[in-house]
Amino acid sequence: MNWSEFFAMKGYAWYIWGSYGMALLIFIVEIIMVRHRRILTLQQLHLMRNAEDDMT
Amino acid sequence: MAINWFKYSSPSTFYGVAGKMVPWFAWSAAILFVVGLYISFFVAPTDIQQSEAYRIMFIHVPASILSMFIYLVMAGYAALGLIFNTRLSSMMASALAPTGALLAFLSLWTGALWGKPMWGAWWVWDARLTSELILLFLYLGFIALHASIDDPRRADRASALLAIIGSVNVPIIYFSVQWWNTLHQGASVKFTGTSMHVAMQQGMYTMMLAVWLYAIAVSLLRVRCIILERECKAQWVSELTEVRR
Amino acid sequence: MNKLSLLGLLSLVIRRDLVLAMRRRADVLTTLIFFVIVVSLFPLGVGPEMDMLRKMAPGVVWVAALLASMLSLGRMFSADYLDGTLEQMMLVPQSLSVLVLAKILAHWMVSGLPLVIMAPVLGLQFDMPTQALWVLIAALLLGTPILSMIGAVGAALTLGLRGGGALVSLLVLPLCIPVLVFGAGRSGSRCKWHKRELPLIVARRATGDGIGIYAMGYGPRPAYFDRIKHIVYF
Repeated sequence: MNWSEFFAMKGYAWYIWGSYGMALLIFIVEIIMVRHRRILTLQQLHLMRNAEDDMT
Repeated sequence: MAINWFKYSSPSTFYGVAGKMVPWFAWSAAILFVVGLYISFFVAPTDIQQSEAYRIMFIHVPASILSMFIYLVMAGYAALGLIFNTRLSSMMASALAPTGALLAFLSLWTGALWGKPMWGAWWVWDARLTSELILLFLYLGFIALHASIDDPRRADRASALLAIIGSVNVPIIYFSVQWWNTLHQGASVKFTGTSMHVAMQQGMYTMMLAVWLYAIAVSLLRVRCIILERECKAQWVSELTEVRR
Repeated sequence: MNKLSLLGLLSLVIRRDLVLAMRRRADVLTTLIFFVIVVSLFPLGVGPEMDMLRKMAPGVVWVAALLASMLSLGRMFSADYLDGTLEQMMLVPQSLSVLVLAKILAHWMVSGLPLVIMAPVLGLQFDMPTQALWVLIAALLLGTPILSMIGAVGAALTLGLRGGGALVSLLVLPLCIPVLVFGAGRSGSRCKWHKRELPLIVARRATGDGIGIYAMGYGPRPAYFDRIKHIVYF
């Protein structure tokens, strides 16, 4: 079995790679969003901390 | 009896525990994904009836089952939070919701791409499909309600109630749509379950386990963010190394 | 002061809400007119073939009734919440559930009952046969109170929130699907009641009631949350 045959999937390429592509996209986007949320949260906490330090 | 479980229900302890658990879940999920995809595409044979198109099953079935299961887990956590007033349970519930919603969407998407070559239609008003769609709506309602209430404690309680009502409703919706469908147009789109090849089963279970572990890992990551956001005024948060630096 | 019986409280609250609704008749009429307009728009949208219209009539009436009841949900508690009446109601010694039940019933009489009465007229627009009209009325009579009860949960949960109107539809509409399926299905071409459905509708009503009333007891009073007896209801 060669690779082009494998990717053609007997004519079902769009359906199969569409499914797995969307799965990959969703997982990657979700991980990026969670990472981003963590970065934002930590930034927020830094800001709060700095503000407290300035006050004291 | 040596383990004090309530110790782990405090956000400050759980924050650290979750941080230690995430890499384990994430890496085993990654390994299982590789193994599962290998079995799905290179070991599992071509199906006689469906040719190669059936390979969508390896992502579709785990996504659908997990999306329903996560809803039940979410409702369970929400109920715990409501009854015992434990903050962490409510945080877990709101951390699970986006993952569940994404999996429900993925299940619909892959289902459509599988349905088109097999049934000749992107969408049919079958009981399973319709209840999956409604499950997605229930997730979106939960997220929207939680997001629109400013006071987090009140948001937890309101959305917990919604989650519980929703979980009571999911079976009712499923059966109502099933009867409606069979009454109206007959079961035209029953997927006849031929006996599955062993390699197909293995591929599916491996993928299911992989998605499961992935869901745990990503919701633990999310609950860590939620804990930090909610507890931002607490002393222990300001003493964390990632906050101090 | 003599103590009010439960039924007394029930009728008192219903009468009060009805009087208030009669003072603001425009609100009631708006919902009704919305219902009529939505139903009348369908033939314009899909074309005037009578066969098709006859077939889709029950579904159209039901969906329109569902949307119209969403429209009026916001009013169930909001006025009482804004002027503080709701807080005072919380203080009555009798069961809160009865109070909420009364408010739901009153809401149904004001916004559900007119739809049921109006429905056969609209059914005639779609050339529905007489027998089907009776089934439609019966189904609506049974279904619209359930819609009010489920809707009450949404109304209570979203009380005082920004964007409450759209949010309440997002929460409540998915939960209303079984009612829609059974209601519209029953008023469809075949006019028999399926044996299996009756127990389900009753069960549905019971859960709707129970959870709905519980939610109400709760939603409207953020400040009194902790005082509530979780265990009694769970």
